[in-house]
Amino acid sequence: MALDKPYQDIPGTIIFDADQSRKGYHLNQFCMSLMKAENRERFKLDQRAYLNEWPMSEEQKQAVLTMDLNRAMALGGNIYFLAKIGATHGLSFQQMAGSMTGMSEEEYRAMMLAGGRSIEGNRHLGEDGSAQPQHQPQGQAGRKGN
Amino acid sequence: MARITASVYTSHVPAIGAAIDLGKTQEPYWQPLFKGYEFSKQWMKDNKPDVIFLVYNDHATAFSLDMIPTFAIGTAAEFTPADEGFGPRPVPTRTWPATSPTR
Repeated sequence: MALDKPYQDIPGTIIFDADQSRKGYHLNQFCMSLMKAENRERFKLDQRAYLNEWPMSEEQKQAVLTMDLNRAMALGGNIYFLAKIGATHGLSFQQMAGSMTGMSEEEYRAMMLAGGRSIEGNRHLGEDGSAQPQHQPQGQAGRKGN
Repeated sequence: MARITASVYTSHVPAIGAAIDLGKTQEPYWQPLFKGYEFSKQWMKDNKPDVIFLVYNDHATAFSLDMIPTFAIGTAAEFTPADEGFGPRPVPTRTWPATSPTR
């Protein structure tokens, strides 16, 4: 019987639970391999070849190649691990977090300075806060689409 | 009998360490945060304990999904800074000898 997961009702994030961990095992282990400088070099030299050394799904590989961190999280990635990919590309954590919202680094910083994302409208799916699916992407990327 | 003299905390977002390493602590964005450390730094200088128990969460640095204990106690004399992808942070490292240091 499937577990009841009331936390899937939280907008704007994916909770890393046992099922996600199982799904993302190799993706996350690949990320850990990037903690060695020589592996980072090999990865940057030929990302596809390096990824092919890991028993990851093609979807997971695509998420890495396109640096789509939201997609990577949906496919079992955990941000603590995924951050190593961004670091390998020389991105700050702020840039990575910003990229997951659609906000520019500046927009993301401004939001954090203002106290972070408001909980109002973001407690459950179906409300109208900034993290809700109907308001994605946020910031700069969202405006470009309009 | 040991006495707990203090309990000191800090936010631990990775960007704080990066801001120190990249010399950004005086930038307007970071200044308020680092200003907040001044009091604690001075207080800790004035109230040096004999022993520090440092508690932190592992940002997927020492442990991978191979094995993640809920709690782990580090007992080595020294731990090298992790390389989280940017290279190891240039923090001071020091091995504490089991006996009193000699110079």
